[in-house]
Amino acid sequence: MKVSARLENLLIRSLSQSMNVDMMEKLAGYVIPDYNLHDSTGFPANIPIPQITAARQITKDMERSNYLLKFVEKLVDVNKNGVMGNRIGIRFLSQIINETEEHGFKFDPATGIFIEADNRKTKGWGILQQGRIYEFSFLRFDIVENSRLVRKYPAAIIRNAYDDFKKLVKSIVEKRNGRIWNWEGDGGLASFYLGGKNIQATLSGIEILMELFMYNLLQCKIGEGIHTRIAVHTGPSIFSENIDSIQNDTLRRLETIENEHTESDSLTLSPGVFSDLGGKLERFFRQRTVSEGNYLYFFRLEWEET
Amino acid sequence: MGRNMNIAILTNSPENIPDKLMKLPKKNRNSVEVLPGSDLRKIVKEDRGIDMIYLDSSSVKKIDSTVNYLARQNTVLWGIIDLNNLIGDVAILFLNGCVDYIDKITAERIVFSRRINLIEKYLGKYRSEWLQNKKKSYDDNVSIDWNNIAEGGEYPFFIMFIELDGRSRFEKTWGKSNLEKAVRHFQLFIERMVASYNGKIWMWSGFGGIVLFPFAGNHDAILCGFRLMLYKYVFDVEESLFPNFISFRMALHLGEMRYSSRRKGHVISDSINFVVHLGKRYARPGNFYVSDRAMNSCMGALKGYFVREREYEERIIYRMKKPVLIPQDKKI
Repeated sequence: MKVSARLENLLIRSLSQSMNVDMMEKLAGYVIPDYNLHDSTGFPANIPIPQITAARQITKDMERSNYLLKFVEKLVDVNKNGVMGNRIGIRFLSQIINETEEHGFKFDPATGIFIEADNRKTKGWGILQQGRIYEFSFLRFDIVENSRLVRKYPAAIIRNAYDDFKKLVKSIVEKRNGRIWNWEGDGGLASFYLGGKNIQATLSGIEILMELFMYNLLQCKIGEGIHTRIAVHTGPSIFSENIDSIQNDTLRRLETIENEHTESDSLTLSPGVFSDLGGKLERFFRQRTVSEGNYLYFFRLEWEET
Repeated sequence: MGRNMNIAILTNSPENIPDKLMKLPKKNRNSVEVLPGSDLRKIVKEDRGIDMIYLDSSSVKKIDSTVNYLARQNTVLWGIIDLNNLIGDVAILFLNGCVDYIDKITAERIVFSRRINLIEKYLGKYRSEWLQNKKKSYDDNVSIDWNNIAEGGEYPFFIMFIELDGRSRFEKTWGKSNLEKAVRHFQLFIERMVASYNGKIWMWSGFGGIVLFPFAGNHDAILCGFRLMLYKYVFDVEESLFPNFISFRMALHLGEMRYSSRRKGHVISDSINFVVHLGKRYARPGNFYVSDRAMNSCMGALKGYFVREREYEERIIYRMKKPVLIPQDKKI
């Protein structure tokens, strides 16, 4: 990210007027582990570094190592919660946030982080870095019996129905701050990274099943409707703009859960996702034993029998 | 006809009527229900939103006088199912205004949905005056929207009563301000959901209120209620300030009322009274009820999710089957 001179100046003034050099170095260390201001500035260890020099150097280092957003997020956190019991008021903070948002980001007070502005929706929320490993919640969805449907119905009907399904999934996923990472025609992969990612992925899965039910009932031109299997699993994964290149245990396990343990019109969660749901949401799920000591959690929209 | 056609099979022996005459494909915009043959005069007399009846000839004692009776009616189309060949002169039926006749052989051969399509074509070609007279007051107002509703004017509305269940329990266990905040949150959820279907909360008092949807010849109000029942669970998890799952009941009716945005307590309307009584006195917690008049505009596919309940104030009432998102073996 190319940082404007105005943002740099605001940060330098803010740091130098809000805290001493030791505190600046401590905050920088939260973002870049083992950060050493003397090494960075070239000042000998026994020579004190002037406030303004320290502020300028830290701003430059954050910018150069692509951690500026994280550093601003840390300043917001410190302003709100203090550091080790000490309250620190960060000067010019609202101006810093506004100026950062001018760079195409928006600050989300709920999660305390910057993500890309609403008009940009990239696979990495504008903040994930290529090649780094992050903890995600993944949602995988697949249209059931795609090959049979394609053989049975005219191509135009299938194309329209699948386009509708894609729009439906995309809007539900993006509404909860998720991103569609991959779309293969009859299914795909969505990822969630921010905030309560497991809850957001699970609610997206439930809502997709509900919306698909309504779509089949009222709109779908395929007589038997479209049916899907959805699985949600959480775990670490490398981030890459080239999604096809990402292969890891988390995604392999997700695929197994979706392919082998999920029935049509239902959603299956791995234990790591389920344990994050909280009292109300976990009641939607039934536990299923896959093998001894190995459980999955299962949801389906059902109707009262009369 | 360009609108949903609601068909009733009137028989005292439904077991004798072939299944294919008692249902239409799931996505067909028309609908079929089976009602007692003995209720013929009651059904014809009252406006229950039925467009066409098929009378099972074996369900009436004197078929000739019944045909004469039907010939005098102009509020409902009629046809005869005559599986036992009780009608001697079929032509007389048509000379008296009958639009269809199904004997045993025909019943075995026909595809019912196609038959209804043929009847609709026939009506459009030869009986257009009937279509024009049918529910004229509503069709004239098909374009009603909030923009052309004036203070003091009388309009047809879908009127929805909605109220949270468990008021006394909440009042006993919650502090006043927390409870008000949680109910306000619920009200905002309702406001947002009904707005997508052109509905507005007209009146809100305490734990519930009345929502108005200007009648526009579609099933949006029923669809809105349907979605509220489904999305309530997402609201519970994502937004609700109540710690437990909430429950609310809804009632929907189609009727005329003089619109007023002020002095709402002074509005006198049978339709409002009916829907409030239906919601407060008849409805069971957690359920959505629709009057026969409102159900008239419901498309076939959605109708399959409603079941007929006992009558209330001489109207047929339908209840939406409840979605089950929480497995039955888990307590809420």
